[in-house]
Amino acid sequence: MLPVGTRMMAKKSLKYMPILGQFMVAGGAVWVDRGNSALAVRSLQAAGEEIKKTHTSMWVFAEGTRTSRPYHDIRPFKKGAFHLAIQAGLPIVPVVAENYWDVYHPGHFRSGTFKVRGATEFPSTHVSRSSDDSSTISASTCLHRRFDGGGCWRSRHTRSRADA
Amino acid sequence: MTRGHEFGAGRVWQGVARAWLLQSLPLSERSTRWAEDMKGFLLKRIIRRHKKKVGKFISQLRAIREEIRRKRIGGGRGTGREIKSGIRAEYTCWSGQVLYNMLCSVPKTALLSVSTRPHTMSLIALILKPVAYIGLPAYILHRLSQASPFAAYYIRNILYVVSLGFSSGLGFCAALPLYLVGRRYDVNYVGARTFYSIYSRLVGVKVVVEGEEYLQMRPCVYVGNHQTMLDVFWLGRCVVSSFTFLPILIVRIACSRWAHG
Repeated sequence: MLPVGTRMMAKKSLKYMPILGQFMVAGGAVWVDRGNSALAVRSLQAAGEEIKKTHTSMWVFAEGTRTSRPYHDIRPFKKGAFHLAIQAGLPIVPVVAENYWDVYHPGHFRSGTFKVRGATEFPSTHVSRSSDDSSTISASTCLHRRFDGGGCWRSRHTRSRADA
Repeated sequence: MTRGHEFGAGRVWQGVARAWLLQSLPLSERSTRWAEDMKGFLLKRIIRRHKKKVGKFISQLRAIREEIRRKRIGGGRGTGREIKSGIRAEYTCWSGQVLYNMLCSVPKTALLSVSTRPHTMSLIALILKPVAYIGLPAYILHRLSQASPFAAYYIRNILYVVSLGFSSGLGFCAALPLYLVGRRYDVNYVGARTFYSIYSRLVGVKVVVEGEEYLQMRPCVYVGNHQTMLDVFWLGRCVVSSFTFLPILIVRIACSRWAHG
């Protein structure tokens, strides 16, 4: 289970939600400006250093946005999570939720159960420190594969396996 | 019989108590008893407040009726205005008669039996009242969501917002004490955990976690996939169980100290 003392990364507009925003501020969330990548990178650098200092973890939804489809699908990851991991020298741990289209999708909601799976960590040393795009992209494809091999998919992506 | 506050709180509670008593009667008796009771209750008040006025009013009515009767006997013809006023007078007379009859039908013993002691609210009512207040809308929402999936969708969405707001409010309130203890980032934990436990019970969605051993390392960067708004919900599930409730922790430490001398 996630240890106590995990922080969240969220888009900046969430900050101004009535109650949730204040709560997340209180919980020390890291805010990312989605429109402005330079600002985002800077805030991530600050966050990475702070994480290292305070010895906490970080939760990131790396796709950057929501994707609800009847079959399993993961969008290409944004680089923020990798920047952060490199910055703080922390491993990346994928946590995958099974596709829960039958439980909830816009316009449909019923009771049910779905699985969430944690996978083996992915050391950020695999990602080069030069922070050029190709290395983060390769890391993200690697993680993608691990997500797919999580073993809890219901549909067409089950054939790919996790490796290394 | 004491005459005091006519519209005071005691009166109101008395009415409530009467209504409560009526609830316990069988249905066949209820309506008649209710009517009698209410009539008695209201009229007593009227009589008491306007005893003189009522008496004067009744005598006036009698006079009007007499006049009408005399006119009828004398032929009943007249100008339009006269007829009109006659009709109006008759109408007043009729409504006055109804009131008079009602007044007459109030038993005098009922007047004497009214006690002015206010009924205090019982302890049971103190518990039952909030249950009734929450229970009825909850039941209605439940039946509604059973009846149509369309309604269920919206009800569950509203519940999502409400419970998320509640739990994050709770987390926000917990922020200061946690900060003072030096565990600032546990705020997320408190909020997410509360949200999961509330919402999973409300909508009956469960999350099963596999590979928990991979989630226990720290510090690290967790990367999750983002499907819908419900991701916040399973995030709450992932956060469960490593937390020890502080009093329990204290007891545990005390126990271990005691055990080790």
